Amino acid sequence: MSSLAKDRFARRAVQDKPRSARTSVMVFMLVAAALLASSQIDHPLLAAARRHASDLLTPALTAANALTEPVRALGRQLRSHSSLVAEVERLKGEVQRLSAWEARAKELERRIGHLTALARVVDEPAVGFVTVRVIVEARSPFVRTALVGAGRNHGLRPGYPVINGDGLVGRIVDAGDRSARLLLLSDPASRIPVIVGAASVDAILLGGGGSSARLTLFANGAKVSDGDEVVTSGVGGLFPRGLRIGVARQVAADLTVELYAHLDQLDYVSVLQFQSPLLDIIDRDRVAASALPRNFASGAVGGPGAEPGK
Amino acid sequence: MIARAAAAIAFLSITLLSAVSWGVPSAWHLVPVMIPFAYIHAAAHEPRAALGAAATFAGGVLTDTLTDGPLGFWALLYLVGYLASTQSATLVSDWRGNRPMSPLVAMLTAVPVASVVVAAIAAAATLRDPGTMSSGGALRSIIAMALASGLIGVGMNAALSRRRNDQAPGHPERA
Repeated sequence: MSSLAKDRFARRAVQDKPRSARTSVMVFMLVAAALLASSQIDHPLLAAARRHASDLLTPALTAANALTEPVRALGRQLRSHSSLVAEVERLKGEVQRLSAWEARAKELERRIGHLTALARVVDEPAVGFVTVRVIVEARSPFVRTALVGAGRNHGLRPGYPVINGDGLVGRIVDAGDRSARLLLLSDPASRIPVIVGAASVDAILLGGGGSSARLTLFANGAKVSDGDEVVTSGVGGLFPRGLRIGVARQVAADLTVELYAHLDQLDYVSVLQFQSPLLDIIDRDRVAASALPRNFASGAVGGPGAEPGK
Repeated sequence: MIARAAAAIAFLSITLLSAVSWGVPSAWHLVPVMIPFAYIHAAAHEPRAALGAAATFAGGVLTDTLTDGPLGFWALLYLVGYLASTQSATLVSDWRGNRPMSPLVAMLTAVPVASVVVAAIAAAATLRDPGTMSSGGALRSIIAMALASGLIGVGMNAALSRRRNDQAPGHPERA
């Protein structure tokens, strides 16, 4: 075909493009709207399909993550350079303050050891952990989650708390074989029992959607001051007591929490393998849901994974 | 057919890259989100590019899967971006004829398209939790999409021109 004919063909195709594109885009918009409506049902098959898709995409996501590493490293360097002088001054002050605390802490440790021996307190079992890398940060108007590149094959289960060097990050809500999804503290669906300040005021930490979270106090009239530390209370048994979360801040009439963990700059996180009786309940439902498609596909009815009661 | 497949693979790869962790502060979190929209926009302005609505839809479903949000949400938004971009491309081709894309034109026309997209995202965010998107964040997103459209346009232009030269009858490889 001559170059002239080729050009004419291309021009004609371009002229027809907008019309055909409009029709097909309308069809796909209807399909997307139907999917949006169907996703409200939250069918276990859909959740299982997502989990399998995440597992399948994990190698590609890990490779893509390696590509973006130079950008993240550059960001880290820029941030650290810009705040280097202020950071040195802050650390000098903190070292002085902590030196005074060190002697006090040693004295308290000795006293606690003595009292523990007297009261014959049963030692709490040590909590193991797995350190994993965040490969996807999901920020949409609806969810604040993250995907890590390790799953059940690496000992991760739904319900495990997740921390980083700064504090609590969230918890695992779904785990495939090679990937797991974290529900971040800032997700609007996140609810965590906490205690606030030296008076250990009981409260619930609610995800705020942004980079902070809100506090709802259990007791009316309980006093919480600006700057009070917020830690997990351990109520409910899903989180161990005393995991650092942030500091309380009074913003107008609301109590918010300035989180220690920078949830928008997650890199490596540690998953605490905290054994709670609730884990089996959470996990059993997930396992049952993920077993559904396999049982349907094989024609088996009433397999062990599909019976939540057993 | 091959051009369509190549455009779809390139778009899905960009979608995957936009979903991974970039370590950007929360005030800039919409910037990586706008990259697939910039690709859609640049492709709509390039008559030789062949990104179809099906690939755009597939990219949206991929983002929905990765972000764990409601299935169809990003697919719908990508298609809104696709529709706005093809409309702006039609207006531009009426004015300029069917010449190869100018990255500058793609960049300038990205501003109204990005505004439509950001308004749609802000509307969805407001339904969930009012006040989650600041005007600064919206402005940054629009600028980011305009710049990214220009850059992607330059890359796309160069890649397509090279392919065209390679396929020219006088090219040593073809001779």
